[in-house]
Formats: sequence, C-alpha cells, structure tokens
Amino acid sequence: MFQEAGAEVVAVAVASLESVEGWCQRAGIPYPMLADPEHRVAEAYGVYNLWGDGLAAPAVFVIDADGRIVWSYVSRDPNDRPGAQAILEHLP
Amino acid sequence: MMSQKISSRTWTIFGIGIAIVAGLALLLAFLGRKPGEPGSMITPAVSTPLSENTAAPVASTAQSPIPTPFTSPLPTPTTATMAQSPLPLPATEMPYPTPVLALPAIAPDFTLERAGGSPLTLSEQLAQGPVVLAFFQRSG
Repeated sequence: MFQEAGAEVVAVAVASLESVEGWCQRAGIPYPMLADPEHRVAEAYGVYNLWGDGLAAPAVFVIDADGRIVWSYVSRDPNDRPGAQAILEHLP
Repeated sequence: MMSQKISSRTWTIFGIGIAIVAGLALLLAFLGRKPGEPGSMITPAVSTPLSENTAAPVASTAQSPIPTPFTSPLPTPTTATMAQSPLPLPATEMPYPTPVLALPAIAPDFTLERAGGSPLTLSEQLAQGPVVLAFFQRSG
C-alpha cells in the first residue's frame, strides 16, 4: 500500500536480531524489519521506554526523501494506532 | 448506687469528650472551608493558567532548541535534549510526550541489522524515496 505511494516501510523493534528474525518468519513481514537491541535508534527518535517497559513505544514517523520528519504518531496505548489512511495522507 | 454513679460519671466524660471532638471537627471544617471556599474557585482558576503555561513553553521549546542540535549529523544529542528538557508536562494529563512537539526536524540517521538481510541505513533508503519508519513495541 505504501510502496504504491512511493514510500518504503521500515520497522524497528528494540529486540535482538534473532528475536526479530523469528518474528519475521512467523508473521511474514513484507517490509524490512530492523533490530535495535541497544535501543539507540528508539532513543534518538524519542520513543524508547515511554511506557516504562524498556521497549520502544509504538510509533510511526513519515520521513521525506530529504530526511525531514514530516509527520509522526506515537501511540498512547497498545490499541492506539494511527491507521494506514492517516499515514498515507501524510506521505510526501 | 456505685455502679450508677460510675456509669453517670462515665457518660458525662463521654459526653464532654464527644463535645470536644465535635467542636474540634467543626473548627477544622471551618478552617478548612475558609481557604476551601475560594479554593474551589481557585482550583479551576489555577489549573487553567497552568495548562496554558505548559502549552506555551512546550510550543516554544519545540520550535527553538530543535533546529540547533539537529544541524549536526549525529543524532546523539537529541535524546539528551529531549530527555532533559525541563518541559513542565503535567504527568497526569500527558503520560507520554506529545510526539509532534518532541519531534526532531531531521530524522536521525542510523544503520541497523535487518532480519534476513544486510544492514539497512536510513539515509541510503531515503535516497530511493520517502520512508515510513514504524517502531514496534513487541517483536514476537
């Protein structure tokens, strides 16, 4: 869906590479899934440990080709998701 | 006779005790209400400027410090500035920092191991077009 709009989805989880690979195989994730075991990236984006669980809070950042963050959404609880339509609307 | 005397005396002491307690309670209630009466007016009056105050610095800090740390290509200082920013966020109302306000203007670049593939660098991926970067809480 996002590829049709000219964007690539990149997913990041604060977890070991093995854990992320296992999940990718089970869930069949169609986009790149990255492991951030030292949570440096999650920290740089301000989403690390927001829920006090030592993990990344679910969040979406729309980044344009110039590297600017044009839109973002940080979930407030596990059921709080921005929805694909909202992301599509903010794609550059 | 004795028992009646004792019991009547006990009742008197008991009554005096109750009177004292009731008097104290009334006094406390009166003292508590005096600041409380305007307090009930103050509470919303205080909370409104508080929320206005918090909204204002959040907006200003969101604009002012963000371009400066992000002129450097290294994303490391952003975390420090975001974590240590003295934003008076009311913890009860906003359990998490508002993402839009805490946003860095430029996405911090990174290289991370990719499941089932070679490491991915954000800037290299961006050379091919926009990226929807999604953080997952759980990976399994």
